[in-house]
Amino acid sequence: MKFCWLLKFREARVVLGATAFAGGSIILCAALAGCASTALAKNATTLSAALAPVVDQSAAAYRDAVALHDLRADYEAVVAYENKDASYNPRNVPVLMSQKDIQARLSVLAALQVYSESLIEITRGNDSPELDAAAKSAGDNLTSLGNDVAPSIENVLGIAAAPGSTTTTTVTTVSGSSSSTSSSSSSTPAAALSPEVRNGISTGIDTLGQFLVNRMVEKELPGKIEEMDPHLQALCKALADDIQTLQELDRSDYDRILNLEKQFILEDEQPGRNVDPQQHRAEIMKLPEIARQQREADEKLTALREAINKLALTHHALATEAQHNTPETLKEKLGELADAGNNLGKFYSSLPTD
Amino acid sequence: MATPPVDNLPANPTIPLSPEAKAAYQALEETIQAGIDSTMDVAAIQALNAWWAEVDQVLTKDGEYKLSADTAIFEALRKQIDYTNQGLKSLRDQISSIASDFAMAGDVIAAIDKVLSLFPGA
Repeated sequence: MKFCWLLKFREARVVLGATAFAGGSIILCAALAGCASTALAKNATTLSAALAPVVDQSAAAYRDAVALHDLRADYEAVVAYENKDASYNPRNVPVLMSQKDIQARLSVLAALQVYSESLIEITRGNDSPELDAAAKSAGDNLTSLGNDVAPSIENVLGIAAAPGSTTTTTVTTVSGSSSSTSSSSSSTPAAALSPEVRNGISTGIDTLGQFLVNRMVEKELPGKIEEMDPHLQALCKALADDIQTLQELDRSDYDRILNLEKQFILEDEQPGRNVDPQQHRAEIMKLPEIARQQREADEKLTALREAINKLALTHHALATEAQHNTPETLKEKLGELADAGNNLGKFYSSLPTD
Repeated sequence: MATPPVDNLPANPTIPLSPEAKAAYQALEETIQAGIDSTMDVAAIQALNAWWAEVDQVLTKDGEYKLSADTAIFEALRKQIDYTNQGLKSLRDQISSIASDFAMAGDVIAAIDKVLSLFPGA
């Protein structure tokens, strides 16, 4: 964005700086690549923003499944006690997933987030405050150079020196009937480089830096995206398989809870139980609520699997385009990847957090 | 009540289940579930719930095994992704070095200026 703005409003200075350091071809390349990279940076930012809630909410998604499984275990404890099952020991009840299991999943998602953040940093490399500061510093330092050096710079730049000023002083001395007149002149040199030239130089340095950064990004980044692709494909497959397994387990946990709740209600209706009617109704009313929760959880996990599959497809398309090394299609595919990630992020954001 | 269907199943099926075995267990569980959903007889519910639990225990073990196996896959993938991330970090560092080089050029110019100021007219 910054560079496009420069093109519109600081054209004269940019041209001046480019003349000084690399010529018009560099500034043209840097300008085109700069605008494209700005779009890339925007898409990479969207991707990162979409992945952040994935990482955050994944912990909740896995822990919800563990909590549901624990709730089922509580129901099983009632059955065990009512059946006088001596083998039942609450200490031996297994958990669905250990902390290590959950951590392994969160770590890999965090690594994916690092990847996304790296893409952001790299694609906005031509909009670096560090580079801007360095370019400004170099321009300022050139401005302060002494006059002896300035003409050489002016020659190199093809810039006419700013005119200085000359002061002529005439002194007339009268002695008796005669008088004599002497004149002397002094010159005040112009500033070595005007602010306009200095800014042009700084902008030229910045332009050259942007050109070098863009060249490096276009040379190196496609390879990195390709390198990541098989890992991301494997990760998405593992995640999708994992979620499917989790979905099946969730489904059976909910079914079991519903089935046992139904059994407890019917047992409470048996003669001699004398269950409080209000409490009995409250138990019955739990059934549709549990069924609703089951349906919602199932739908969300189905949507999640679809979002993961789409993420895998879009990243693969991006990697394929990166092989062809065409910046425009690369930009387009990165945008699609960002959209896919956004859908994934929306899903995770929709999960309950409490 | 008919003969419990679970009596005909292997006592200790091999985990992980083959796709065919898993499908057979799932089909059986669905059949029992349909039975549970279609009755309000407490004795029938108690029996069906007991059978359902037997079948589901096998499927749950299979699921837990897969989650555990997935953990190993995730751990291996994290190492590979970390490796790629390391490459991206190097690229980021190279980009940063461009700014550093320009900053250094500015410092050199400033140093030249200082030397020249000590020798006017040199």
